[in-house]
Amino acid sequence: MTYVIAAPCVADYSCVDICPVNCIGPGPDTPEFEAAEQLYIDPSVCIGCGACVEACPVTAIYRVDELPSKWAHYAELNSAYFSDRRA
Amino acid sequence: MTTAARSVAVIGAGPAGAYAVQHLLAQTAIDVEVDLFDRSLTPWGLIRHGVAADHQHKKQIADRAFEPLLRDERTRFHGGVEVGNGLSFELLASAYDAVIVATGADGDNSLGIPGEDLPGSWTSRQFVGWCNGEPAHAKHRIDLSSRRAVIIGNGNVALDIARLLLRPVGDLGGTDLADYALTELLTSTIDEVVIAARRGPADAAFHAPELEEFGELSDLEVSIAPDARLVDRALADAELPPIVRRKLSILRQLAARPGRVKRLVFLFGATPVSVGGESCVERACFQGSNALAPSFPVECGLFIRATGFKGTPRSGLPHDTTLGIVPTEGGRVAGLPYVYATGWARRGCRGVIGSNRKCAQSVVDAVVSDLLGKGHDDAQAGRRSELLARLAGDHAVVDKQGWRAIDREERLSGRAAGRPRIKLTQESRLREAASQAGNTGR
Repeated sequence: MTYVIAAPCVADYSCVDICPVNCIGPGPDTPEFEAAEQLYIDPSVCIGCGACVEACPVTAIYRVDELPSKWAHYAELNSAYFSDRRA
Repeated sequence: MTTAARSVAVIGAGPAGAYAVQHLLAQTAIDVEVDLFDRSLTPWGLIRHGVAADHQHKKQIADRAFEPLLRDERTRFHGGVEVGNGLSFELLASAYDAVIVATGADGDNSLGIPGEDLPGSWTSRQFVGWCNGEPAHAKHRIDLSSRRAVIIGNGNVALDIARLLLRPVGDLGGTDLADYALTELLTSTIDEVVIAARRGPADAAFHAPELEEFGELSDLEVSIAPDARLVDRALADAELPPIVRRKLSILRQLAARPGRVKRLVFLFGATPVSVGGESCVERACFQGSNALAPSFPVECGLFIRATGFKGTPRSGLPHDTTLGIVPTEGGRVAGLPYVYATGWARRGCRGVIGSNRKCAQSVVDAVVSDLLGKGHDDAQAGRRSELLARLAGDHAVVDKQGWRAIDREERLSGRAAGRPRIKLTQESRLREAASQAGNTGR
């Protein structure tokens, strides 16, 4: 099951560093990082290992079925970040 | 700690400095020992004194990412030491292999308008510091007995302030908001906040998550002035970047909610021209986007300018007055070998907390590559030993153990009250708590 980055994200990219399948973006070496308000997880690549959850210094990452209800729409926001870029 | 270890001083224990320490400790090319200085008695800078009290999620970064740095034997902490005031930059630079300046942006952009210094007019730094129990701002008497507050600037800091002013106080009971601020907010009569900015909705500086949070305030009405259609018009632009579209959609959604008890007004296209009042703030006057139209007043008893921060010059260091930064090339300070700058001191006041991590990585890469080619200097080591002995003997300085004692006391009193911590907000109390541990100079 995929994981989702929610509102508290501060773009400390410890999650990017630890992700074994490189499914979190924008990474610090991309031009998009400069203007990033937060980072996102690509649900089509995420293998659901959860390594990012422990790495996140602000506990902004949730398994999709455990997202607090006020942040439920972040599942769509995470996925849309990548689908918009692929479009 | 081996004698071969390279010594690095980091000035400023906010996120920029903390991330620099994190990368210094993580790299394996050279052995390091790191001295972390801060003019505050406590570490973590804006995480403790800036991040809004109702953003406890974000404040966790201190525990989860930064505290482990002080548990590392290679680090020391010297709180209450201001470089340039009591300890000269030159002395520090002469005692360490490298110095990383991470002093942030310690000045405020002023509006340069008449009346902005009237009682009742505050900077965001003062208001936010007051809410967060920062000793330098804890003494302010911020009057919340009027009906309306005006905030200039619409970045996340402005939104944080508006949210704290409009949130039901019950929501703040479980946070580490300063005790006295909680008391003041309990009797606050402010039921309207106007957030004013020169430009239009598409240029708004706030981020979507911060805006969205107003949706959690069930008694809040949000309106858009001078004309609600400004947002619709901006949304009609097909070229709007997705991130801006999201913000404007949230704004429209918030504004569509039915009437409530308290009110938040986003005023666009309004330039503040003066602050008026007999002996304190009574109104803010704005010029609209039509320069020929007369200026218009907004009555208020609290006026806060949240128009960004700017670094101030520091003795011994070059300074770019326009940008308010220490000019660097790839993090290296020009003309000062082995001196570096990171964070807002290097880039100016922008980006999110994590932006400082990338910044620190590049600076630490430069430090390490420079130090690999630098010889050892016994005289320098001698000056450092003297300095460290002096700091260890100074009871006004808070070291790691002192900070741990403060932290413990704050958490213990917080636990009893069901809060993450109850902050000590006076320097004398912080020093007293720290002295329980005794200064060991670590």
